[in-house]
Amino acid sequence: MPEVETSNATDVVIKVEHLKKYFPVRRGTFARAKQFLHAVDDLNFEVKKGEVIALVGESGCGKTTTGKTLLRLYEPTDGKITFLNRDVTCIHSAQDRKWLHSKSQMIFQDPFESLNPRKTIFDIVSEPMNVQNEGNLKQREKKVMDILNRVGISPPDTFLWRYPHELSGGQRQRVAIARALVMNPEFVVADEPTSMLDVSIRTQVMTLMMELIHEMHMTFIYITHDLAVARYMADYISVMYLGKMVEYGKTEEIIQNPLHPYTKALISAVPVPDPEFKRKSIQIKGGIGKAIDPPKRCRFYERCPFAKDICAKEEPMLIDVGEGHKVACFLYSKN
Amino acid sequence: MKSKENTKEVFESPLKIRMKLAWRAFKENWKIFSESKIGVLGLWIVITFAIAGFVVYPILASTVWKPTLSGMTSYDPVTGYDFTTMNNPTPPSWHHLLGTDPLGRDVLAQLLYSTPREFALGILAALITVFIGTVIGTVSAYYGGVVDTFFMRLADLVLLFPFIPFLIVLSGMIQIDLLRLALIIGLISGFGGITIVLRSQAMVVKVKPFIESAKVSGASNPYIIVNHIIPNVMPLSFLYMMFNVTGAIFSEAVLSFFGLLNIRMSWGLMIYTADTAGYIVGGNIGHYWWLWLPPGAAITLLCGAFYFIGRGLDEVVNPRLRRR
Repeated sequence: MPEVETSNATDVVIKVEHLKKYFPVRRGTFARAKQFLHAVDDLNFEVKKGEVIALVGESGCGKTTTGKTLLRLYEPTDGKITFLNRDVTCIHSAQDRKWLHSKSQMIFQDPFESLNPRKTIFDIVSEPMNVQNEGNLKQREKKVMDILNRVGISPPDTFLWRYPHELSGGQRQRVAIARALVMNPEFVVADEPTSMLDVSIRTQVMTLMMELIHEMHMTFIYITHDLAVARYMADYISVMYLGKMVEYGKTEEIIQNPLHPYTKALISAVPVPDPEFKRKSIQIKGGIGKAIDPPKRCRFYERCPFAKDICAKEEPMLIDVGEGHKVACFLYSKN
Repeated sequence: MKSKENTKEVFESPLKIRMKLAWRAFKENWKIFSESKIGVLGLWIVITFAIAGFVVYPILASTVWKPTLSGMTSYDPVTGYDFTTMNNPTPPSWHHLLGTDPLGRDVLAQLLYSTPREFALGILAALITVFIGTVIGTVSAYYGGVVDTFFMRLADLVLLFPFIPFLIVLSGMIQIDLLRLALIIGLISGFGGITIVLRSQAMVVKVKPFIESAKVSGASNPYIIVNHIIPNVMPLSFLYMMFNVTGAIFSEAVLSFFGLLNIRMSWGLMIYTADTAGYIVGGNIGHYWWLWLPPGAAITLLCGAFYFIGRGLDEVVNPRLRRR
């Protein structure tokens, strides 16, 4: 099913070129920031209509920052974001902003915090329509009921006038998904939507999202630290390390044939249910490095078991090693 | 099918549902409030004063205290005089339940006449304070930067400001009546401590993901402040309103005790009258107790009552304070 749709729709929904997001690190009270935290550093990718891309990486590697920058919750430091063939890097007019936000949405990690505790479910779900001035009250009500039904909150009318604290975690995340999808967005960023949920509910919510993605032909960026989730959800996986994309490719290709040492380590860390199975695992040293003004070299240099001399001198570029599988590592660069 | 029928029923009056929800929330909060004895006590005192001022006084004024045809006795709180008494002030008697003041006016009539005015002053001043405090606090928390710095330094300034001396100076320049006093108290204290408190609360709300969620939906900054931040700091501002009523009534009492206000009658003014006539000096203070005790007790009780209500509301707003 998904393969057919992805191959049919080839137009690019969002294209990111050299995206950078630096956060100033405050030193003194009066001094200007001299150091910058390179949360996202030179990111290039594009997402075609109907595709699901998983951004994978350990915490602090800039996954969420990427997602939020794409939706303009953060101003990008540098780079260009093209959304539906329109440059949205610098949005000044309120009209353009409204247009962007009517087409793109975000599902947040924590369903306990992402719903305003003082609003009813109806208020929460209908807020995007309210903000965008879409439809009258009756139409909004109808739409809210429809979408709540679709995300599995049924019967919706018994939930409409409840408050978030009266719902369970899974129900809340469903409401958050309903809220994100009520405007039929083209593009959705899901920021670890299942990580705060109970394991038993996680699969249900993931299945629900898969169904909705395919029903509504949405483009998805799925941010997660869990490779198993990424494998289940995504068509493509992009592995990030300290603000850089280190590997990108089709999901199965990445899982079966990881090239970058970091990806290899990540995959070897996933537990295997078969106790007899022995996988050659890769041990990496130390913890995640500092992203504050990193030196010009491979960011994985200190932890990499295969580090060469060149890795300490230059930054590797993301190169294509065949069939859209890209990797940023000198081990695979042809000299 | 059944759910569809329900749907129609539900959507016939969303307003009614909202009323119901508000009522339910009110009942829940009332339950918590009523568990705090001090809050209920405060509420009862306030209700008693309200009945006395808004119901009992008009009734008495139109029946028992009606000016007699002979003009011998008048219970008017400002111009009244009782020609049947020999010398003023007279101690409490059946004709004058709380005696008369040095000018021969009935103390109980003055007391009751002043009550609605104290209410109006306290509540108006507190409303203005809370309105300004909420708006300024949330705006400066949300936008930060220069706006934030400006209003916070202004708040520091207001906190250090000698409030009563300022009002004394001001009263020399303009005529301060009750409405003006409420405006001045409301304006000045609105930029003071309440702004800091509500700003810090708004800072907590500002970083919640539901704010980002609203931003992603395209909500403008004013929309977020009005629809998300203010409803979440509202309970706290309501609580501070109660404390501010106390402050306003107290300031009024102080100023009219100094005789600086241009008002017909108030509790502070009653003590002022007794004081300037020399009845609250030295040994007189115990002898002429009815001149200062009723207004003094009224000020203390009403201020205390609003404070107690605030304490009771505190338990509703701050779940940590509740006794489990």
